[in-house]
Amino acid sequence: MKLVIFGGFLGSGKTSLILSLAHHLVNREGSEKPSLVILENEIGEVGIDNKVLQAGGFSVKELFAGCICCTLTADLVTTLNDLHEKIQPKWVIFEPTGLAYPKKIIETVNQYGKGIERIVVIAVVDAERWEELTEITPGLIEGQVSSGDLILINKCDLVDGVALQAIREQVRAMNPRAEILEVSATSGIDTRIWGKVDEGPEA
Amino acid sequence: MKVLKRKTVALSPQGHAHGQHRPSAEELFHAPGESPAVYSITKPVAFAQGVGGTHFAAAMIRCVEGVRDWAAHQRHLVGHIKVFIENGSKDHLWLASTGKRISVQSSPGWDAAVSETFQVHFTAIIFGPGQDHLEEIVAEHIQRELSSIQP
Ligand SMILES: Nc1nc2c(ncn2[C@@H]2O[C@H](COP(=O)(O)OP(=O)(O)O)[C@@H](O)[C@H]2O)c(=O)[nH]1
Ligand SMILES: [Mg+2]
Repeated sequence: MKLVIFGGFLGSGKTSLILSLAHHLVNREGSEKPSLVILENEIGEVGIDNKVLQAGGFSVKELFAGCICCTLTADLVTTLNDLHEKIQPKWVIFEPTGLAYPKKIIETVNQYGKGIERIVVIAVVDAERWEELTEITPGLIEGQVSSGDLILINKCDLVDGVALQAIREQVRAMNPRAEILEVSATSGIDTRIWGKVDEGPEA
Repeated sequence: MKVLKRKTVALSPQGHAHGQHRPSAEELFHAPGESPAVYSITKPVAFAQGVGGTHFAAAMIRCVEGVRDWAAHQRHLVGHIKVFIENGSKDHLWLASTGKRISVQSSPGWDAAVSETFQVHFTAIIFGPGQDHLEEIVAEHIQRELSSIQP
């Protein structure tokens, strides 16, 4: 199984981007067993994004956990190991809550997860709210950005080039190693971007 | 109109649901701040006569606008406000806002469909207000807009 984790603040566009990636993966695999499961952890008793993804025709599992920051790592590991034993999907996409630190999740999965060939962490940045969020919750935003293997600066349709350049520089300072791309989930994602997720090096 | 209010998970320091670990503001934000208040319900709605999709959507948009504008007026940070609605024929409507624009997306059949029953799933995550206060405000907006709908 390849695990793709989408980190990023509330409303940054994780679910919209997951819809795009999921379409890409399913289209590419054709009629072959689609082999994709999406795991959703949401804040609040009632999940919304899981319904959006289900309406898109994808197989979605909700993970339940009361705590938004330790984020369910026990439930996640149980679910991943269960998937490995029973379904063996080729891809698992995990969307933690917008308040989660992906680092904690990766550590736990590395330690206890079975059958995972590769973990790709995509950090989603909300370009529209960058200034506001880095001011209000700098630790969380830095934690999310620094864990990304690939950083998608999303909602580029809503900011100008000067703002985007400033965001890019600040993101780079938080994460010197990751590739940084500017996207707009609602205007469509170039499939070459998803190719990077798809064809990266094996772990 | 039947109201089925499910338990909301209080993430405020007083009502954290996790047994072992209670995130402090510092842990969540590494900065002074606070955990958000969360309003999250599923609400079945029934009318004596069918209501059109466009009509129902307009009421729900007003509802999200109302909560958003209240949060802005109080200078609360909106985590997100998200609504997912299914009608009786399994068409759906999805609304989302992070405090400015409201995005509205729906399945192709939504606008034209006329339905007597709707299932409204509503989640608002807002930093600043007390849990009880948020619940009260959002419930009030939902109630007001739903009762404004005349089939
Ligand atoms: N303008 C614009 N809106 C976007 C973009 N990506 C997502 N959104 C909107 O932002 C809101 C939150 O998106 P969502 O995918 O649910 O974010 P999540 O909370 O991180 O899963 C929704 O209203 C989306 O329609 C984008 O690239 N541009
Ligand atoms: Mg989401």
